[in-house]
Amino acid sequence: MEVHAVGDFERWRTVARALLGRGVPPADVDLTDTWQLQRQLDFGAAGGVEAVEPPARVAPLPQFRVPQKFLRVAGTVAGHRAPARWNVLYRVLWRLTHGAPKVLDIVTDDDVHCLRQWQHQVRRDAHRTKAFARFRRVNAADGDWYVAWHRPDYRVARLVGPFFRDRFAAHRWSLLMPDEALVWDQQVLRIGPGTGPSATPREDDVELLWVRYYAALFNPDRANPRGMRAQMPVRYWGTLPETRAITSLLRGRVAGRIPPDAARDG
Amino acid sequence: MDVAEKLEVLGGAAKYDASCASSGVRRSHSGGLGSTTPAGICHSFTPDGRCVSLLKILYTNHCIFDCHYCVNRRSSPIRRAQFTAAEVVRLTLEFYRRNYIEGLFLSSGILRSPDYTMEQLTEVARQLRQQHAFRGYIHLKAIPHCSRELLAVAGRWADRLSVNIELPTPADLARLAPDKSGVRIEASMQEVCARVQSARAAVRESPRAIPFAPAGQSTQMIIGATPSSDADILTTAARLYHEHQLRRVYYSAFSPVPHADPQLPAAPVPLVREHRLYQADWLLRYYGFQVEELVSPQAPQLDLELDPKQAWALRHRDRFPVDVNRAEREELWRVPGLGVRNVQRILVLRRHQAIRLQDLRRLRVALRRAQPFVITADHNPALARLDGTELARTVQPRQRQLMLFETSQSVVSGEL
Repeated sequence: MEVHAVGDFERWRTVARALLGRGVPPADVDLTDTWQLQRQLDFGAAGGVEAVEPPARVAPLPQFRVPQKFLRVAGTVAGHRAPARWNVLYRVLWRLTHGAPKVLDIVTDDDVHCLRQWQHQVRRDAHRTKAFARFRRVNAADGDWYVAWHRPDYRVARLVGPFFRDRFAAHRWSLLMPDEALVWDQQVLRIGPGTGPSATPREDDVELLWVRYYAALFNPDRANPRGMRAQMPVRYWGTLPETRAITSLLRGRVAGRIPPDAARDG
Repeated sequence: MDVAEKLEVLGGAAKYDASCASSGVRRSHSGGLGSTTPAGICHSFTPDGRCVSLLKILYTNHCIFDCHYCVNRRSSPIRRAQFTAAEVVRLTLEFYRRNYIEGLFLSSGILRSPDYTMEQLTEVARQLRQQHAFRGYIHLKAIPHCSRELLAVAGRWADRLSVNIELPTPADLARLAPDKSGVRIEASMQEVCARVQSARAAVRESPRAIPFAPAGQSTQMIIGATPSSDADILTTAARLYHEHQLRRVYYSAFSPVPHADPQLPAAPVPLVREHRLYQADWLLRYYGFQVEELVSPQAPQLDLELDPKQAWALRHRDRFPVDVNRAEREELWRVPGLGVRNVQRILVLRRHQAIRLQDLRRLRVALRRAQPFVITADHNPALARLDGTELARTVQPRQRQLMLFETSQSVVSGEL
């Protein structure tokens, strides 16, 4: 049994390509996940900054015909935390190249089902990062920066980087997360080491306007806190400024208070 | 009044508009601020479970019209406020840069005249696009009775335009919105529809052609303010989809406004009715259903206890069971608990293997609802229930709570 340590997508691709070239079947190899270990070693260390390439753009494996779709799935699943992901990816890659080129269509297959679930979880996490990252303006000596700190469940920097770059190309920003960070200086998008919540900048004035706007939207006739929490889980509330208003909005409703737009009549 | 107070008054006044969509158009980055994505993003959720995607505000809540159901009507003794274009532009940009919103949804009460008001709205959009190179999403409300020329300008800056149909029938409109004309409202829809289509054709020929409201148009209908039935509502919706190529019809359950007119109901409309209408709407647009299959002169209301596809299936048990390994796509769409996406997965999967119950379970098909209606490759004990009298009870949601929970989602997706 061969054992290889794998920590990220690029490393997996290199290892998998070599294994496939030598014809090593999945049963004879164990790809162990070193990501958690690496994180502990890297902790506190600077550096490790690199430019981001979206995973979709990687070249297909030479000599082996692998559907683009698989590379997309693999690039996304790499950001998951499940230690088994590298082995499952290699097993599916093996099957794709050894007589089952359509295995990804069989969505109820154990391995494919696993990959799809992981892919779904990472994608949803990336979507929530796009939705819930909240930037604050920081006045630096050479102009404004917009800085957000957000806690995703997985590693999503590579998935969300191009989105934020396209959207906020016109100003400088940093998206800080526990395991990795994205920085855009209006030239290059870089990915770097993560940071804790203490890096969050202090609130700016616009945030107060946003909270007031959010509070004004509530229609007490339609209160549905369960629906809200399902869409916007409480674990994100720490970095969502508007959620400060929720308790008092709901309490006001219970106490039978009149909504603000009616209270100001006349 | 400072901007924060205006935001409170004019944000609160816009909350009765159901639309929050920011989807349907992709604009690649080209130097300015912002982007749009085909799927749209909900940035927050209010304690009523509704999505916050756009800065949804009124330009002003002053209004010369006196529509009885509207909190901003002329005779309503509320606090009035009015933004300036510069204030709306600044709020949009500042909120956008902090990733609170996908863009702006600007509506308004009618100030002086429909044309004057529409000019103010288009001016905001023009400033955002031209002076600030804003590439985020803009939805403008087309003010009823405004001129065709102003609609043409608005569609040049906006991603989406919407003209509100307001009420299900012309008689309802005459009774509750005496200043509005159904004929003129639909003429505006027709105008927008024609311009969207010709611009789309022009863009296909030359990518440099000027787009017009590339995310199309939508409308909103208040339900339950009048006795009009679900059949009336769905008939109107189906006609609007067909005649004016609407992207969406939004249904807004009437909720009593302060100082209401005595013609209006005193209690709010149950939200589950709104939810059932969204489900029916989804069936019309994506599942190949016709209005007459869901409601009829004998039964003009949707069943509040059952989703409309389930109710249809119970009335048409002779069409079942359906064999998931052989049936056509359109037949599978009609199976309760099977959504469009799962039907697609089933069609692909069955090319490779016979489908059994456990495969459906893995696809997360709602088996409690679907199982009595399908034949699978293995033995399906639930089939015996298909002709039993207990079927309606066993396929119902277990708790009422679940249904209420679903209502907040139905505006986003009526997926069954």
